[in-house]
Amino acid sequence: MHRTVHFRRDSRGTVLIVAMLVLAFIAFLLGSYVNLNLTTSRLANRSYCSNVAFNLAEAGAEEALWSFNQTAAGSSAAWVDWQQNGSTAWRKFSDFDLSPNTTGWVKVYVDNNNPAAGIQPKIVALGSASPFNSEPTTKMIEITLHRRSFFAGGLVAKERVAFQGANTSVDSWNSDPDNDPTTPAVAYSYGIRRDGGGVASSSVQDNAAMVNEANIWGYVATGGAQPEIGGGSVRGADTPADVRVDPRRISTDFVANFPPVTAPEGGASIPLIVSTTSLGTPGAKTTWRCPGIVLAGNDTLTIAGDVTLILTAGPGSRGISVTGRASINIPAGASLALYVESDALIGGNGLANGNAAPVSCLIWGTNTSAGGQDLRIAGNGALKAAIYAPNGRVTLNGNGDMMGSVVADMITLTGNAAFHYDESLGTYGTTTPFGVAKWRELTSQASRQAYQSVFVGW
Amino acid sequence: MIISTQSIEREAKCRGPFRRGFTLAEVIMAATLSVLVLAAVMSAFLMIGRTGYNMSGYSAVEAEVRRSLETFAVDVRQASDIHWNSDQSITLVLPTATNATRLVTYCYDSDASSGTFRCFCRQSGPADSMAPKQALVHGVAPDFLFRRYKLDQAGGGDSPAANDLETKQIQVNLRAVRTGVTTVAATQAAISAKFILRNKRVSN
Repeated sequence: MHRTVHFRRDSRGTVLIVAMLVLAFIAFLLGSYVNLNLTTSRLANRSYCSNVAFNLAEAGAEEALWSFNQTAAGSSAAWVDWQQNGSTAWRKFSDFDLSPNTTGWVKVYVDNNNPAAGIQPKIVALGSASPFNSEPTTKMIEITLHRRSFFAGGLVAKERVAFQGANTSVDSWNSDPDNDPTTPAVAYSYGIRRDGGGVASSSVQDNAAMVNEANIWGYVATGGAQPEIGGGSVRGADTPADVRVDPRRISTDFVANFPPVTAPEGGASIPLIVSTTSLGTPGAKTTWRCPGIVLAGNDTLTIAGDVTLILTAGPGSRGISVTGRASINIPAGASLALYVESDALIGGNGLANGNAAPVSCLIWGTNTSAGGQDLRIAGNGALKAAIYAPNGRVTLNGNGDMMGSVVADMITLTGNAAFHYDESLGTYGTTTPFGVAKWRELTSQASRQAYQSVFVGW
Repeated sequence: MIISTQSIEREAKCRGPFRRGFTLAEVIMAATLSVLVLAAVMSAFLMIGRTGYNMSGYSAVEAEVRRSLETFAVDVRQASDIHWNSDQSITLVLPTATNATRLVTYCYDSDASSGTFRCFCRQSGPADSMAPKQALVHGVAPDFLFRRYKLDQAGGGDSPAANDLETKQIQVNLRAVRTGVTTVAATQAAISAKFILRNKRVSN
């Protein structure tokens, strides 16, 4: 009896131990699975929050950019609801209900909401997404703004750019390499030419860019179609010597805004200019308003000082007619900003600009109908001008150098001109809308540290 | 009482020094059954172990892929330019806090002699840089590739870019594989979003 009882006790104990070991093993496995699932779930949740925080930060920055551009458009309510102190502004957008148990907010800080010309303001946005009972995930981005330019490219058209000459060329240079307008401008010469000369059309049509026989030292871009290149070339400094058309310099996704421009208000009214005369005052800024300019024979219109001339001739008429050996002269040190809604023919000896920088002669086409104005311009030796006529059909005629930039509905180059885009025009603009000059996500503690203090307390 | 006595006697007899043993047939059957049960239990344990290993492999791959795509996205988003070295290598031009730039190369390492063989890597500098490669995802299949796209155009759908100039978006496709000695490979295929190069100039 004693041995039998003892044997049964041993058996029961063994079974219990084995059962406990098995249970422990199963519990360990289950625990591992649960832990694995929790980790994966946390990871997925964190990724989700990370994306949400990023989107919130970008949305906040977009709000600030919108306010900047509302200011540029003349709205006085652009910064309403923003807190301001001097030139800094900040605002919090909160209570975003992102999904069950996840909320978010974004704080936006602007270091200068009323920047002077040449100043690049910064927007810093801090987005946060907080899952229930967990630490929030934050994203911080810093955006440096700049004024967009009307002249970001050499020859830019809505519809078509066409070269009709047999020996036309395009390249670029920078007349203001130190980005300081007070220092003397650098004149174009072959030795300093660059390959930033761009020819672009936002059209998707097959004839969007008709390079034909032209030699492009830069880029060609269209809205969809391949450019038509006959015996011409598209090359750059990094193009192999034996390559005539460098495919790396051709793009087919070009898009651009062509905002209309309006002539400024005011100005002293003067009659039609029909003979040799001088307009403006040396060393002074003057604004004039007249029906048009009609010069013939040896007539010359000489610009003195910084002149803004608004032609009141309406659409369909010819507001400027310069023929014979007549010309419009802009001597060194003077500048002309010409606003014209009508057609214009500047032939004869054309437009003679004595300055090195084309920005000294700005021609603004204010017509609002597509293809609604015809601008024909010839140069006397060297045509130096920046022309912005988003609804104009611009024809440039000449066999010499043409320097500056042309933005129009259609651009045609006749003759055998050499066009040189002035890259300094790419930063021209004091009232244009703001765009993004530099976008950075601040991921390191060091890079975030600079802005930590501005997000505290609100 | 009589019945109880008989029962006690029979039990005592069975437990005594003369109790009857198992027959050979019983032993064989018991052994067979034991082997079957143990085999089933062993098989279940092995299956659980392999599944667990696979699951941890999936989890590790997923974590690695998520982290790598996050790193990749941060760099691509702020790139101002891109150099397409090949389908498996790109170099990004990134801005710094000042107005300088720096280069970062992302690539798939297909060099069998490399320490980062079959890894999706990040490397400071251009593609031929001697800087060490940081492995972002290990065990990546050789069908790894980058894809490049133009700016999205209205109604245009996917618009593959033909050159660096018109590349405005980058996508990465990879398949990470975790293999074990006795387990089926855990494979995680990842196709990233098309990350936009926000600092690349598009127009004016």
